[in-house]
Amino acid sequence: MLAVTASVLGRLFLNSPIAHIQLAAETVGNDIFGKWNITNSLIAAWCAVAVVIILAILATRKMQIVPRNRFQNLVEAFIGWLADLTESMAGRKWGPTFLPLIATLFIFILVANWSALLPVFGTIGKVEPAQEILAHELRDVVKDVNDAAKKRDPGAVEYVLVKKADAHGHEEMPYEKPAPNIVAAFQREVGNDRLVIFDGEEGTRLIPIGFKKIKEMRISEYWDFDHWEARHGEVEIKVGDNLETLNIDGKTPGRLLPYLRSMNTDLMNTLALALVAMFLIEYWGIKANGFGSYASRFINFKQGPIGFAVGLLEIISEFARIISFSFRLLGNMFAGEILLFSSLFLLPVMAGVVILPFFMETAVGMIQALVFSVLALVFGSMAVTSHEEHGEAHGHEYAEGQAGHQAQSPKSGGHTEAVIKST
Amino acid sequence: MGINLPGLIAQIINFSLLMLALYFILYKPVLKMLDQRSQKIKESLDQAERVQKESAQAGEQVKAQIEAARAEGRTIVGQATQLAEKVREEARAQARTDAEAIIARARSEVQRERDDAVEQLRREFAALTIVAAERVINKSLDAREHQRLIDDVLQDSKTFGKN
Repeated sequence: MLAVTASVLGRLFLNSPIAHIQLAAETVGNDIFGKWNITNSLIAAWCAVAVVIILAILATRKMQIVPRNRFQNLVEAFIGWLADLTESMAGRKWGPTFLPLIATLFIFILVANWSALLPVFGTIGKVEPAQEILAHELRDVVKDVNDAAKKRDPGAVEYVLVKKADAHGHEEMPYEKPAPNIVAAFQREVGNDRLVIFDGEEGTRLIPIGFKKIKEMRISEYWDFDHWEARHGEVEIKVGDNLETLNIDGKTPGRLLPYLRSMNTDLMNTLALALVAMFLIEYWGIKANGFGSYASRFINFKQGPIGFAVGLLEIISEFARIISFSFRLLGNMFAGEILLFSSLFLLPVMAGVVILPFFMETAVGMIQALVFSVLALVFGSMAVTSHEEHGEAHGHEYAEGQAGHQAQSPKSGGHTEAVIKST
Repeated sequence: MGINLPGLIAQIINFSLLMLALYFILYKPVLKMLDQRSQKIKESLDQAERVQKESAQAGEQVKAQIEAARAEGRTIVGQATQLAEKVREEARAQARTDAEAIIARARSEVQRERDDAVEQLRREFAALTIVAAERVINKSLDAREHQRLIDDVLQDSKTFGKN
């Protein structure tokens, strides 16, 4: 019933533009700290930090030994669970040391992932006008062409973009028309990309989901590649198989750069978490075993060439962990984001479909938070376990088993007994 | 890919600060509170157990005291009964001896009275006999006179004891 209603609603009213998906986080404020690029995922991370800290302050503000405040119960149970988890894996000695990292990873990733499901994510943003998009893309195309030419012939002449007049501080399109091969490459690269036509000047907007048809145009319809200038006034737009004419004066073709983007869909953020986690894990490993002992795990001459090879593998696996940490989280959350975008695109067909990925993303968000923190915990526990002690214990058992074997070998029953004891 | 070194550094600082902040405002106080509470619960339970043990001990003591008092009471009652028995026995014996003494005294009195009476009678009789013999001797006696004399004496002797 709900699904039917939703699908009817979807067919009748709702409409959304095709989402523009890119892996790199969008820069929304490159003028805030001068040259520093403030990405929307970083803003989301700041929001998540703020939310977590406010919740923590609320939870611990009026703590009582006999709790009357149910929120205190919840937080205590949650922190207690995390503390028990770390202690159950890392032991009583190292559990409390690991707790801040493990718990913060879990809480931060969980809050970031779940808050990314809020409607403010990806829907409110500033309009990036077509001129800026084209300027960025043109620069990338010129760089690609130059790189390709250099690869063929190291002495090749590089193409350089020439600006006509710099009207604004930030990058815009008035570049001189480049060489024909670059124009062709540029047209191939971006010609079919879509621009949403926003009414009025550029500024902060909601994503245009609404009752009326969303107006979109291709870049090739906006930018005249032959005359190297933007078209004005009446423009012919292809809508499906039909041509429509639209006056774009006073309108801004472009894309919406959302102010907030799910924190973990940006490689920089997941990589930062992985780097901090691995740094602390290595630090604890050194602290627990001593530098020499811990380093001998990786550079090992004692046990011959096999030991050395194993050491090399350990080094590789240590770096692989950083990559697997960051890309596992990134991949899961980015895929989820694309799933949500795709279901947004399905809005006109069936609005009810949108709900299902949201449920799924709720689960995925928590699972990924748990996976990240528990893996960090496991790696940490492995790092602080003494390597040599472990090996010695094995050797000792082995020797004992051998001795038992030799002593008992005249009797037929003694052998199995000794083996059982040693294992 | 969005490789962006300032973003990476910003996020590293972000996360490190969050970790530090949460350590001081969340994990430390919450874990301290949990430890405190479990400590307090443990203490309370210990105390309750101790109080229970003490009260059980006190109850036992009271019971023992009651038992002792009861036993004491029983002995006192027993002693009293014995004493009473003895007193009664003594009284009875005393009464018996008294009665016997009285009876003996009465009997000896009676004996003595009788002896006295017999003695007196004997004495009276002798006197009488003497008187009679005087009279017999003083008068000439014929048979009838003799008889009357004897009768007179006997008649006198009848009144004799009554004097």
